Amino acid sequence: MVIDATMKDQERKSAFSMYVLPEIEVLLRVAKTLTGRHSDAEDLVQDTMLRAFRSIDRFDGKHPRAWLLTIMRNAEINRHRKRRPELIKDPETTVAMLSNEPDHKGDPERVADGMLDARVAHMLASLPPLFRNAVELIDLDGLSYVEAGEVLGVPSGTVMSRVHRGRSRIRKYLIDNGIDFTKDEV
Amino acid sequence: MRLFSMVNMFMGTPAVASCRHAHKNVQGYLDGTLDDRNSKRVALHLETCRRCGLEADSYLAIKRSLASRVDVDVDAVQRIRAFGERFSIENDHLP
Repeated sequence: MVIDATMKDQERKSAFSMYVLPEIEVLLRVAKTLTGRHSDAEDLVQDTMLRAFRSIDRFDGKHPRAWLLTIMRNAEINRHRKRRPELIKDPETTVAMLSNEPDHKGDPERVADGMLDARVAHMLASLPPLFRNAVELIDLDGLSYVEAGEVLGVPSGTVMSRVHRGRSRIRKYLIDNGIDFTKDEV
Repeated sequence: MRLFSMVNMFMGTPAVASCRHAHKNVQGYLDGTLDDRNSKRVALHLETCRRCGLEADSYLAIKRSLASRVDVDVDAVQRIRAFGERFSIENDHLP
């Protein structure tokens, strides 16, 4: 009986190392998108890992990232229930985070890149959260549409539609604000 | 052009996408979510249509700009990894 328990424990540890530890970086990026704050993101990933460890016996070994993202979504929902509404991501923080523009003095091409990046960052932060989160999960965090659907709790087609509409708004904003895409290099 | 249209009538879906089709699918094309056939149709269209080609360029620039902002907190990754490795060894102490 004791031997069985030890074996089971070893299997859990081994499964955790195999399925969870390799996903830490992705989990942290997604958590940053969901929470908007580095410190909260770290807490959320730790909470996710703890929950994953507790339920790893029930995991079938298929699609560990999707499994972990679902756990993270539930953990985040639970976290929000306990939190004050003003802690929801502040667009200004996102702008500051995204717009730490490097110094491109003297290099016209890099100045143009810097302008584009700053405006993309500004518009991204101004998007409604529904679109912003979808764009961030795909274009910043590098998730697939199916994985992003797991995080947001919606079908992948819905994520795709939100991402396309979000990018389309960013593009319109850039054009309205004088970014010229007819040049060879943007 | 007329001959091309007639060939299309016999062959079914045109080999090259229309502007409307390209506009609708350009982001899916850049994301790699289109099937092979649609992807080829859009690619062929983008090669020959300046306006749609520029639209594709603009989305590519936006995607690159967003991807360049990825900021991995290496210290945080290490802390979390240490956390995971620790409690996978000492799970008797889990809360």
